[in-house]
Amino acid sequence: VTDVLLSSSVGWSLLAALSALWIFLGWYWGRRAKSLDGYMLAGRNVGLALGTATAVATWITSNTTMLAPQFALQLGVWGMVGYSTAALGLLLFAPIARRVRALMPGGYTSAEFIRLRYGRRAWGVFLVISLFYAMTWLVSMAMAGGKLLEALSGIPYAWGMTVILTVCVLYTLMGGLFAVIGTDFIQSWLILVGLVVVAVAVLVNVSAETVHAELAVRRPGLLMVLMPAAIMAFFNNMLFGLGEVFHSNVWWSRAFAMREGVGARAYGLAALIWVPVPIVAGFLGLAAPALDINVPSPDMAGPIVAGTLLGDVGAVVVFVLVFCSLASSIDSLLAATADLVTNDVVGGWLRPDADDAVLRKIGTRVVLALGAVTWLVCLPNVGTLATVLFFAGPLVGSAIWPVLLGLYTRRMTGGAATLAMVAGSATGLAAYWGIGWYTGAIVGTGVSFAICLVALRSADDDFEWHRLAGHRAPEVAR
Amino acid sequence: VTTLAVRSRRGLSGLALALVVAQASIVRGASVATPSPRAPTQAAAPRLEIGSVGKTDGHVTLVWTLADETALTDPVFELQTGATPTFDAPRVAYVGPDRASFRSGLLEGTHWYRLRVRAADSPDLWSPWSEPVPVEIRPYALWAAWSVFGIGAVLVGSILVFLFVVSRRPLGGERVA
Repeated sequence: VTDVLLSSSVGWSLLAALSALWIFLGWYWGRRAKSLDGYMLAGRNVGLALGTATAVATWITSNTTMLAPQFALQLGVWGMVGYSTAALGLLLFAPIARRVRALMPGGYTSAEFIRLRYGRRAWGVFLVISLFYAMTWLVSMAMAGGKLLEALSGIPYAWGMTVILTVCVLYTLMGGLFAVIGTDFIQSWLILVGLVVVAVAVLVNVSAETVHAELAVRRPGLLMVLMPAAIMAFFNNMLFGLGEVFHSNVWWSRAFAMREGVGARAYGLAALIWVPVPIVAGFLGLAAPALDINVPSPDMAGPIVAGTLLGDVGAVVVFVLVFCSLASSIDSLLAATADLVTNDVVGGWLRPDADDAVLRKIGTRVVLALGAVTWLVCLPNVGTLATVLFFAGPLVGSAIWPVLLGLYTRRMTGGAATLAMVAGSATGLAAYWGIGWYTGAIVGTGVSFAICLVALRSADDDFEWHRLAGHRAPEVAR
Repeated sequence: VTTLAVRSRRGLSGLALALVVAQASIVRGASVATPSPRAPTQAAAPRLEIGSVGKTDGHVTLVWTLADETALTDPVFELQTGATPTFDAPRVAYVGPDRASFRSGLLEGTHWYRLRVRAADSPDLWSPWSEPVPVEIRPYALWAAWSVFGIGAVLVGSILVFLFVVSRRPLGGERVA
């Protein structure tokens, strides 16, 4: 009797093949990443197809493919539908992407916007939130990689985590955002095809009517429209998703990287493509009881159901799907977080006199350092996916309104934005621990919103938009 | 033929994953049960415990171990559930070799679970039942749930309305390029 879906020799072979492919493609596409703009923002010339694909692939994380079935199995139909509303983040970022591109044609990061719009104090708070969120996401992805590869193929956690992190660091290092967006394009196709294969396999084996009938008998709570826990979690998850997308440099850097006129369409299209993904993945969780498949740990519901229905083919499909979901998120996080550190911490604070060539060199070292720090944090294998994920909810929720009002109003002040983020984060975290995880983002966003509303009524600031052009874009807005 | 076997102590959340897929196109270990060399004897009652419980969310992870791990080489477990500690109208929740089970969609009330075990090659030689384990589910009151839902709806609605209104404004003089 073996313990895992695939033998470790097959797992290692797949891992080697996928690793070689991504590193080669990273090197191939990254040859053009000579300048700082090329390395950090793919030459600011990304078109609609690549722009859409990179948004889809980055937003399909291992959390999408693993947590969506878990949510469905825990919270029922509400959980499945609720997870798919995370697409709203991409959809609502579409107009923001257009605005960002127009206001900051020479911009690099989301933190740079906060610094130019609100000043250094708000910038410091925002940077802490952004870096905490980015590192949390990065660590949770790398840990998920190690755990999932071990569960799927018996590859030891430390080795799986190390390989997937090393591969992503290498191709991001060689090609910057060129490599990230290029590999994302192929990864998004592999993920979508894999999900279609799994969905067809599920529906061939069990119809939606059967799933409903079986759930009504075996797990009636999962069909309850009035399930209190699911009702509570619904908008909390949505606000968390909005906060993630609105503040994170992962999405801002893509907005800067896309050609003018592309961003809004790319994000809108990506949202439409992304919506069914958690529904398909979530249906695996709901199908488990109907197919009489025992799930010992809810976060493995997806792989277990897919592997059971598809056998060997399913095992390979799940392995490729998981690897692509992880790589497409880890590479984006490495690149975007390295941009934050390089542009804001080094260029904006430690070495404001550094020119683009120096920052280009520093950027590669930052990618390496981020990879090393992530590896060290992940090695002890502490924490669970969901806990790590939702801990950041209150923080990113508190940044929603400062970002929106900073982008669209002249009156919002830096002091109010700072207070909104600090108070929102503190109260949101208190609610997270004191009341429950499903209130963290709601309280964080709500408190921040209230402070912003009061500040807007009393503020008399009149921000001049041309100040957003930034210190490294002297050709604009003078 | 595809066989699934999940065991504890591996996988995520400290629980275990073990999965057996017996097909030939990819070479890996076969899942042929080897007969126990010993004469079949009745095993002692296994130990059933709660791994984690979502009291307000309606789910529980049950984990179990053998009283003597060397007594059976290929144990098959049967997990039963009932509404009372006497299991007047029991339902089979799971039969198989796994060492854990995640049960969700539980309605408000107390759900009872018990477990027994046998060797794979002794279909009728079940152990005694384990001690019954109660799982209490007490969801939040609906008024509390709808209150949180309502606050969330207002916050998300505000963002939607704000973006709808401001996105319709022309960029005009705000364009800096």
